[in-house]
Amino acid sequence: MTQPKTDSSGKWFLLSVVAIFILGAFGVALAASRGGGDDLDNVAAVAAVEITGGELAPMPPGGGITSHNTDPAAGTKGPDLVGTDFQDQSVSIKADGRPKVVYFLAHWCPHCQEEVPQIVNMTNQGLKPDNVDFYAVSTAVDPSTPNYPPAKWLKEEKWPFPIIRDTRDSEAFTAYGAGGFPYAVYLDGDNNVLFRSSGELEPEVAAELWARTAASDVSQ
Amino acid sequence: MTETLSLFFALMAIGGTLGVLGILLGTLIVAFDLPGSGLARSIAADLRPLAVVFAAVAATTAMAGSLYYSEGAGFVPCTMCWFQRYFMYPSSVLLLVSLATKKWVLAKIAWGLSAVGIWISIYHRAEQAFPEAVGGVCELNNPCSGRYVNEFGFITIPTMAGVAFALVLVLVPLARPSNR
Repeated sequence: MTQPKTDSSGKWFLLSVVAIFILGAFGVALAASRGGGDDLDNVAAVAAVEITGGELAPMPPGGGITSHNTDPAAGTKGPDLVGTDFQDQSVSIKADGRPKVVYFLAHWCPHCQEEVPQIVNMTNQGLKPDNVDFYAVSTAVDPSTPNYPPAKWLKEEKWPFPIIRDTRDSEAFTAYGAGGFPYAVYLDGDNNVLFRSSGELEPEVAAELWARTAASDVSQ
Repeated sequence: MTETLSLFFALMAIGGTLGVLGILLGTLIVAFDLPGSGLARSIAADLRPLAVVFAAVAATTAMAGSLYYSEGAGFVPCTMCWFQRYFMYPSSVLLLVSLATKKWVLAKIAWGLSAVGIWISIYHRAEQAFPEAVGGVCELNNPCSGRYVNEFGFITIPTMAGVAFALVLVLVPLARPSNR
């Protein structure tokens, strides 16, 4: 071995730089995440929901938008839901004469994460019909999955409509036919199903479905 | 705890990315004999005995992180995560054994595993960035396009894994014995 003996100070310098970086990163992470817990972390993500009335027929698989011809639930009455939002205030979805769009949202679903800001934006642009009420049902809650807790997510997205926390076993979601997320049920003023949609919607399509829901309002 | 560690892993990923870019830049400078090639050569000479050490640290941190996320934080690994694990865990073990036994060939095998693994990370990260590419509906399961961790808005778990694979890819060749 004729290799010249090189100065090993460079090696130790590099080793120190990397070690200091790793320790520094750990220190920064520790310091940055001290204290500062969000109140919403402690809000119960699920709660009891009173469900009255028969379950809707299951959403046909594969997503898409249903119609009278394709949807066994079309024309049938959606069960009444009485639950609570993340502030523990009572929220109910029942026949009150006003058409409704009920969004069933799963916090972990990336398509819901895309759809929610779109609904909020469209509403801010004045596209939501005045005679239609929107609701969210936060369902399929699982603390071991992404974007938990749902309360924090919907607050960050500035979701402006009433929210019902579904039960641990997603009973409200099941009662409404359990479609793939994001799942929406469009109801007339008597809580009868007009049609349903499963999956992310283009803004134009969503606006059209809202308008069709509004048009079901016979009082207009 | 999970927040602290995620931030730590994210900072490590940023440091790792800088390291990868630095090594690639240095390699280019040396290859084309650009100004500063003397400095680049001397840094490379200093880095050579440490290259496998750093590669082992990167892969082992990634393995420890993934084990923490699944066992400690309770995140269920998706299919893509499992595929990355298949390549990351043996890389980590091989690099550690390579260090202990001074058998560079083991590091070479880890390099090969990382060369495959990094593409899984890239694919997985792309799926997270463009979730509609995998269909517009979430069924009641655990989609790979979900983001358990999203530090600084872009550092997700596959991002971290990808950086660890990249570090192994650039560091192991530096340690090649015939380079001496």
